[in-house]
Amino acid sequence: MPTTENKNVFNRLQEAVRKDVERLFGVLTQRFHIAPHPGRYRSVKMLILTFKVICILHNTCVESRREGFLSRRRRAEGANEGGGAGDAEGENVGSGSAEGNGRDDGPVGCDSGQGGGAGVGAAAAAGGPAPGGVHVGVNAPPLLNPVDQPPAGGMAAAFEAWGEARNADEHAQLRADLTAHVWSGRGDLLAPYLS
Amino acid sequence: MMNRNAECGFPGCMGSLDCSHWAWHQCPRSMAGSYQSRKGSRGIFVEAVCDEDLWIWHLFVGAPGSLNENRVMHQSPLYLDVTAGRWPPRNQSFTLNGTARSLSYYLVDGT
Repeated sequence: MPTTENKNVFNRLQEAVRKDVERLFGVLTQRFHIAPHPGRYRSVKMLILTFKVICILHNTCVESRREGFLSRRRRAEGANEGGGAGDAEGENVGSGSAEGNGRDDGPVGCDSGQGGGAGVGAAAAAGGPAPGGVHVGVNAPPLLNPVDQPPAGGMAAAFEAWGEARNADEHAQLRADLTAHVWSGRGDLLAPYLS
Repeated sequence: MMNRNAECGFPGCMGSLDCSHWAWHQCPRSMAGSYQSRKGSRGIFVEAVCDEDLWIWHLFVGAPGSLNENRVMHQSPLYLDVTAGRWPPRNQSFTLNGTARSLSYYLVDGT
C-alpha cells in the first residue's frame, strides 16, 4: 500500500499508464471474436498459432488507424493547446501516417536486429516455429536470431547481465527514483487523468 | 515510444506487460492438470507487451494455465533475453532523478 503522498501519486500515474495494456485484451476480444471464446483446437500449437495471427492482425489494425487515434493524454494536450498543436508536437494527433509509421517502424527493425525476438513481428515472421510437442509450454525463439551457444560475450557476461536484470536493490532504487521523478512533475503528468 | 513514455512520466520505460488467460475448450484430459487455471477453467496464458496505442511489441502464448504470471514471465523469451543480456539495447540511456541509467525497464503490476 502506498503510504506517503508521493507514492500515492506514483501509484495513480502507474495505474493510468498501465491501463493501456489492460485495455489491450479487451480490445482484442472485441475485435476478434475468436479470442473471447474458448479455443477449440486439440493442440497447443494451434492455439499459439491462432493467437499470433490475432495479434498480427491487431497490429495491422493499429497501424492503419494510427492517424485517427487519440489517447486521453494527447486529447488533453490538444485541448490545452487549442486543438491544433501542429508542428511543434510532431508526435501529436495531426502527424501524418508516413511519420507515424516511420516513427514506429524504426524501433521495430532495431528490435529484431539486436534484441533477439522481442517483437511480435520477428516472432511471427519466422513462420511460427511452434514447439514440437504439446507439452512444451514455451514458444521457440525466432529463427531470425539464432542464439549463440555459448553466448558471444562468454558466460561471465551472461551471468553479469542476469545479475543486473535481477538486482533487487536496483529495482528498489529505480522505483524510488521514478517516484521522485513523478512527484516532481506531478502537476503536468496527472492533469489529463484527473477530470 | 520511449519518448512518449517519457512524456507520460516514465522515461526509459519500454511499455507495459500484462498476462491474460485464454480458455481452452478441448483440452485433453491428460493435460488438464497442468492447464487448469486458478479460475477453474482450462486454458493457456497469453503474455503481451504493448504501448499506448495498443501496438503489441511482444507476445508470448502457450504457457500452461496453471502457472502464475511470475512463472509465465520467467519462461517467456523476453525475460530470457533480458537476463541473458541480449535485450534491451544498452545504447539508450536516460536520466532519472539525477542518476543516469541505461537499462530500460517494463512497467508491470503485482502478481
